[in-house]
Amino acid sequence: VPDVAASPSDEELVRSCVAGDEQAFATLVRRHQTRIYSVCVRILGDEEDAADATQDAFLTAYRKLAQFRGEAAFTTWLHRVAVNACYDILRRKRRQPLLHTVREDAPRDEGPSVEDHAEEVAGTHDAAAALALVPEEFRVALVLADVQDLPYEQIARVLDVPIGTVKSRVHRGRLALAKAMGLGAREPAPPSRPSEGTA
Amino acid sequence: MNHPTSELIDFVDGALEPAARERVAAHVRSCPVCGPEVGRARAARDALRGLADVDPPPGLTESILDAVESGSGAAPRGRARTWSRWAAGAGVAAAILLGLAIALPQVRGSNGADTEAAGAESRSKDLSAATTVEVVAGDLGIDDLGALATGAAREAVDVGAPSPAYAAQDGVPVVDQVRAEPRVVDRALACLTTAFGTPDGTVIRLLEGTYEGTPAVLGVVVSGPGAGEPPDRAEVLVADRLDCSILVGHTVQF
Repeated sequence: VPDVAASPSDEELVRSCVAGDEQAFATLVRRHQTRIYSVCVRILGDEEDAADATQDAFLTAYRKLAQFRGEAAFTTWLHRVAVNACYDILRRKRRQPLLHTVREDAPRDEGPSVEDHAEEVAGTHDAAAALALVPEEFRVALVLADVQDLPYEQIARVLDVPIGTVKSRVHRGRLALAKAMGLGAREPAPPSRPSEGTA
Repeated sequence: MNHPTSELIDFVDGALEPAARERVAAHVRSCPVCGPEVGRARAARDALRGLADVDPPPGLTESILDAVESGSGAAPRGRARTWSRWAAGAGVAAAILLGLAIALPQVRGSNGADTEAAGAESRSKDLSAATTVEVVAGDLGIDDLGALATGAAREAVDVGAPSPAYAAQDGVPVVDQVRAEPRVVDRALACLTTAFGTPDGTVIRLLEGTYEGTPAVLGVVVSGPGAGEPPDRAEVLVADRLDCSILVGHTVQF
């Protein structure tokens, strides 16, 4: 929801919060939580995990507000914190099957392989479901670029990688998503997004 | 045929200068590789642009603000993702906000940035990986894990005078014996890795003892968020020494 003109800027709210005004932090949470939660949902593919990641992100942001030096926009910094929170949850989930593997001697039902799962989802037009099949590194860049519509320069700052790396991840992520969705080639049309989001 | 691979994303996004756009367009029209690739990339991009923002669940704002107010750190929001929770002496007025939660194994994947972070900030100390196993006298319990974790936090960051939060966590377990044989150290590390996966960050202490009556191996791991940030997390990982399964894990944010 756009703020009215009289609303304090993010940076003003950060300064107030660091000075001890907890209401200022509440305003930051309310202002940004939908966007941050949406990023987390698209990256994690699970609303409960996304809520956990969103909470973790805001708590981390609160703890580290004093370290926010304002060299980047607050939204860039907050996206960075949120992406790190998502990576934490993804790492945690990756380890869970391993624990069962080493603890159980019995034959395992490991569920469908990635390939099998891709087969199931292939052809779906549900982009959100297909995102889960895109490798994490590409998926994060893809969500920031094509769902959140952040400029590539900002994504580079969020992920702390060169802009060329961001572009490469986004492009490869788009191809992976197209494969997961069973999207075939369409006749290349003239570009529809002149000079947006790149530098 | 030379494919303009690095220019395809800018072509899809319409970000090329006119001359380059014409050149790439001519290639794409005639290339059996790049033509379909551009079509797929554009279709995927358009599909993602159709995704709307997702409204957070009711109560998330309050949950976040309650957690901030209570200083309970990254305690989860009530879902059964943790085994138990250790209240971190909430309300302790410390210069450093300390949050402590017992969570599922929260060791991180290897990330060189964490190592860089350990030396990046002037207030950070150099952390050394454990080369010994400390054998602990007596049976360990939940409070001992808290003491180990906060001790690690104090070790990781030069906080000057101990804050009240740290002082409240005195009573670190008594070490009975220190074993430096490589096979003992390797065995302890291997057991923790079997239970929790490869720890990310630095394993600054390894201990053996019993945890609530079960023979246990303990690892104290300090890590940071990466991206040049200083260490901000200490974890105590406890594995069953006999079958190397997980007993419990503690995390301290500092």
